[in-house]
Amino acid sequence: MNNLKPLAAKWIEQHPFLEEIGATYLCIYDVLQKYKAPIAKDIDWDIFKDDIQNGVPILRSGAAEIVDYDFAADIFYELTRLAFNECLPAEFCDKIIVINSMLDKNKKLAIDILKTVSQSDVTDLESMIKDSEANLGVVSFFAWIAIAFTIEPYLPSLMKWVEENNWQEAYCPTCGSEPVMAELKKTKKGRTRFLSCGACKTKWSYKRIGCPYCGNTDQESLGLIEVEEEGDIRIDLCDKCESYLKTYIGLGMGGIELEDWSSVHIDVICNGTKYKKHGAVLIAK
Amino acid sequence: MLVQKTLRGAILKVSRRGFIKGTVVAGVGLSLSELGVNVPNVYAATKEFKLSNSREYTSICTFCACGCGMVCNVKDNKLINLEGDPDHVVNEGGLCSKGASMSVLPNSTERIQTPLYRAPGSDTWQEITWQDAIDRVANNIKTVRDENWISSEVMGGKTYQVNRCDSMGIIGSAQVNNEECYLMAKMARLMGVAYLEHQARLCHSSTVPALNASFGRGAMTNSWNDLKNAKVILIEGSNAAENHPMSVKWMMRAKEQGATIIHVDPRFTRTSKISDIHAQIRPGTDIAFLGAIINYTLSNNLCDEDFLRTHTNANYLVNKDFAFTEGLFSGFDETTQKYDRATWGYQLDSKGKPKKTNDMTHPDSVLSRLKEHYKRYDFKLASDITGVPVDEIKKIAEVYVGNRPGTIMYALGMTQHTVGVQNIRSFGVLQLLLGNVGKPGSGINALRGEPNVQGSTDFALLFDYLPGYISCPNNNQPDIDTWAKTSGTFRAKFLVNLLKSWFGNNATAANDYLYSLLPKKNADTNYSIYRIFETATEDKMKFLFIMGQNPMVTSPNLNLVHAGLSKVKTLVVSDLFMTETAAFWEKPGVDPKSINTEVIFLPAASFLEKDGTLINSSRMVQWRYGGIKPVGEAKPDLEIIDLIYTKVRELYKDSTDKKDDIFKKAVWKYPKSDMSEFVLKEINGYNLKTGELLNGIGEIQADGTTSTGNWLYAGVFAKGENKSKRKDNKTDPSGLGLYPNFAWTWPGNMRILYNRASCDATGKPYDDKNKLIWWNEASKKWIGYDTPDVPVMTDGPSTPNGQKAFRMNGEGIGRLIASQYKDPDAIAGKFRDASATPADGPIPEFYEPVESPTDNALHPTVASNPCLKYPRIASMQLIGKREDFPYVLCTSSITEHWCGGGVTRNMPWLNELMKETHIEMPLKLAAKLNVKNGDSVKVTSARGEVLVKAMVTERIQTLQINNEEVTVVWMPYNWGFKGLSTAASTNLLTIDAGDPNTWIQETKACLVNVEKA
Repeated sequence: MNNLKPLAAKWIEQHPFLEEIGATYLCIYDVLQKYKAPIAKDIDWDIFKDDIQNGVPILRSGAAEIVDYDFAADIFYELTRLAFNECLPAEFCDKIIVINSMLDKNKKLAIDILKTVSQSDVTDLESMIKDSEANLGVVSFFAWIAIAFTIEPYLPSLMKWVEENNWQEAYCPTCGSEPVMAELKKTKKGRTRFLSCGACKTKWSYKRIGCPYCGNTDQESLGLIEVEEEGDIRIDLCDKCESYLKTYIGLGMGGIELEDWSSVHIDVICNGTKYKKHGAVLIAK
Repeated sequence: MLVQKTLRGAILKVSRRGFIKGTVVAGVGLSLSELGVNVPNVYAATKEFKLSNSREYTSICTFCACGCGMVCNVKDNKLINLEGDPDHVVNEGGLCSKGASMSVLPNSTERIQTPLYRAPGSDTWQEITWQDAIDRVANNIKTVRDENWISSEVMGGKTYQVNRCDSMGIIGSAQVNNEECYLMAKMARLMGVAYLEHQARLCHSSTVPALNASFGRGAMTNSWNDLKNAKVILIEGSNAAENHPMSVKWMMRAKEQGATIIHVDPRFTRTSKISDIHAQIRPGTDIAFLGAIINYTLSNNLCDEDFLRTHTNANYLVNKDFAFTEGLFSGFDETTQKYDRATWGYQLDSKGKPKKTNDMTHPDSVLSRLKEHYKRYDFKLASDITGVPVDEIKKIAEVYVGNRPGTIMYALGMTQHTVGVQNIRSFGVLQLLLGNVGKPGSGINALRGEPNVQGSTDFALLFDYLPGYISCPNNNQPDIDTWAKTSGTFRAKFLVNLLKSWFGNNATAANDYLYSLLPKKNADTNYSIYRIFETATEDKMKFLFIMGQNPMVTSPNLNLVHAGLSKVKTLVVSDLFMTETAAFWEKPGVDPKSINTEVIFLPAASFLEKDGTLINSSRMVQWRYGGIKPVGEAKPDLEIIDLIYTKVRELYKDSTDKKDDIFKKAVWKYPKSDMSEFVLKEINGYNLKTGELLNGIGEIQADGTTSTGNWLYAGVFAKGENKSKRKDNKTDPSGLGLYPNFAWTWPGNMRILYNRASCDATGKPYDDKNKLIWWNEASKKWIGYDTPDVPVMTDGPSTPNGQKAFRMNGEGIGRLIASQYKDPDAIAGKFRDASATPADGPIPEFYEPVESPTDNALHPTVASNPCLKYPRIASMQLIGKREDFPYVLCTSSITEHWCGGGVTRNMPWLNELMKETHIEMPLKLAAKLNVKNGDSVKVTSARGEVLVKAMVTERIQTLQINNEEVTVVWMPYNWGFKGLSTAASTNLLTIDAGDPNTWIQETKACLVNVEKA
């Protein structure tokens, strides 16, 4: 994730209409760029085998801990210092500054929040931040960026192991989130579809045809929208649950193409339709 | 339940369901408003975006029977992309060159888009409407049917009602979907057609009786995926790498685990390239080659003795009068060229059951008689006959016998011979001796060559069956009871259910389920596809409907085929492109004015333009979605059949003639939308009391309270779910590649046939690490990863049913000697089921091809198959002599083109890859003829001649046969005079002499001469 800034800059160059939202993310990537990716410890993923085969994601498993919460807390705090950066919109900065105040000199709270977020325990999280009146969404947003940064070195081996263990759920095998995007990628098995987690950035293979949100495989009720000006991204539609999923079908841009914001123009297109987005909401209906 | 720690150390028990339900993930991304970002530029930009709708759908490839999945992308009713389905368990995203080229198919400008008519003597086609076309077809059917109806026949001094018209022929297709095959069979039989045939006759017809005689069923025993479980793979008579490309994926998986691949074939091919051992064999000598391996196994006591005792007839006692002398088994009648098979049975006890011995060395035991028979086949003899050096045969025998489980793969190199059935029977004998049946990585894998040839065979587009391998009634079988005396009570139940499907409430026990209305074929007549053209030359065949087949390229002895077509009054062809068959009157050198056949061409929808199921080589029924509309006015074959039948029925609506009663009694009412699924439900069958779909074969009743169009498919719609659509490519608890929730296999979703044989007598798996099924003493049931292949799930190893690993044979066991046997039915006093015995012997014996370059080294006075009847028409079926035609011609197909080339030769990509036909010849012959690569040569046989280019190669070497040098040449057979790539048809040269069991032609071995042109 600490290499996203130049990729984002290139992407924005190709999509100048994304400059406004891109500026915000460039600030965030700038923070991450200051950190060196942690070195992954050797983990025998098989300790998660029973859980993963029973559909329980890694971060929800009690088998072992892979998140370095201490390190993540540092990043989390540093991200909240963006409140003092003039590159972010003032409205956003107002929300961040509340969190920054809450975490200031309270690393334990930062760690607890990160642990709660990683468990997607919304009730606990709400009670933790209640007194500070911090925005739940912004807390969760920054927390996931921090968590994702610390687990990124584990993802290659983890994703390989997950594939070997035939994970076939539509939610993320690492954190349990719904996918926010998808990608068709050439593999030894042809163009395989990978779902992409907007939270922890894990990618996992999923059946090529079928809605990941409701499981619908009736091909008559699954459709696609293609955008002539954005040939590398298509929109997969499910008429059964009326959802849409942005699917990147190009050759790859280093990962920036699966950052949700980088295809917000596709969300804008869908905004006027009956189809809903899952996993994250960029455009409010 | 799972134990999960919370942050505060409390222990929660979270089930998977609980996890999913309890997961309420807050949106991980922020909305733009939360980010405080306005994106007016994005809104402005997207207003200019041009959007279009498209969709993806899945289909199944239309070439070999690997059954590869495809993902198609369609936009504005145009196919814009086609790729291998990454979720498919067979091809895992891959496609061969032919499959990948199919993106061109719906967009090709060569497709015929309107019905066409060619008037008698005309040299042009004219476009006609569908209504005109169907009217013409139906009127012709009615005229020919009415004028040539055979209502009764005398047999043995007795008159029988036969309801038949022998002047109509229908040639169906292994190219079309199951539902289309089923309706075609139904239509043909309702109209009284006996001459109902299709490609399977020409490619794998010898497989069914051969495997049936050994194991009880005629299908590939294991699956493509299961090849990975083998420790040794013997590929004989197949160029799998070219003709079944996806099989290589699974062979290579086996190889990665240390398996050895052996390839035995007349040429060094791409298959040889991936093999560890390649042996060049003379075409037509496989029985001698396999005989040597069988003899090696028997004489060195390398059999799997426990398997032999438990699962085969090795310890059964053979009839004492059974004999084999000088090339003939006991009971041969030289006049009729038939065997009286009375002596080919067992010694029976008072209840009609076979006598057994505990001592397998007993002189009358099956095993002893087998040893006696095979002891002549030593390595030296086999080498002299086959041309494979002694050391090579020995090495192959050691490697194959020494590694288990071993599997066998074969294709037309084994089937297309006058000993085709016995070739494959040899595999059966070998695999039973080695205990290589019913287990992972074992079996006999018949590599079916057309996409739905298993289905077209299951649905009986063959004169001798009704759907579900129910014997087609003969003229001397006027009622079900009489029919059952030959076919058994077990199968009578399925016949009743078929009649209920066809005649509905009109079929009752009181009227014998209207069996009397079915056409009854003449018991002494050969109605095979060869006879369709032969009877045409005799002016007997008046009307011929050919759907999805191109016999003017694929049939042997093409000059005879052309002569036959020229005599037919009306020829109807349904296909995608103009074929050599439809345009036979345009053949170069022929004057159209001299041909009075009227031809009606019906443009058919391609596989990408219609829905329905097909079944791959390993019996996997898969759904094809129809994602795009047919091109032009083309129609799915299902609709074409429906239009023809309903029009014919309409023409007969006022008839009071008894022969036309059948149109009033038959149930034929299909909806225009979702017709395929409606037909599939009819095939699956219903409980007629409840109206619910049958859930499996076990629910089929004999009393008329159930119906099924094909009993083998009962369960494909179990619990109302179309199981052919299932795509779970990850659930495989066995780890063996069974994928029980991916599509559906017959029977009962069984992936590996005869899997009871993977367990010992007590029901314990022979290999606990690679187990398929087992007896569970606690639940008193057969259970496992696969559907257990046992008669009754609760009949354990201590019961007779618990020991029937080969339950579809009368004996219930594997048959080393395919003895005559009918299993007595104690309840009904009739026999339950009969085992199949080949017409030309209960044990394979080597005979030379009809056209052979040498004498028979075993019995010179009985050189070729003694039961062979050839020529059938002396003037058109000449037999070449080695003096005039000194070289052995072997023919086959190639990766880039398929069968008659009707589709592939219209694909520009494929023509670029392989643009023309050729003859492959060894360096030595080329030197002798002074021929270089690319030179034009004339190839002649007793039947025809062609001009082709020479391909001089080291891939074929001259052979030493019986101390003489023999040269083999090879040609692909995929070309003709239509399409974008045209060239001479190899089948002008080939011979149509056929195996006495199924009449399959000997296209793998005939004699030719080659000269520099």
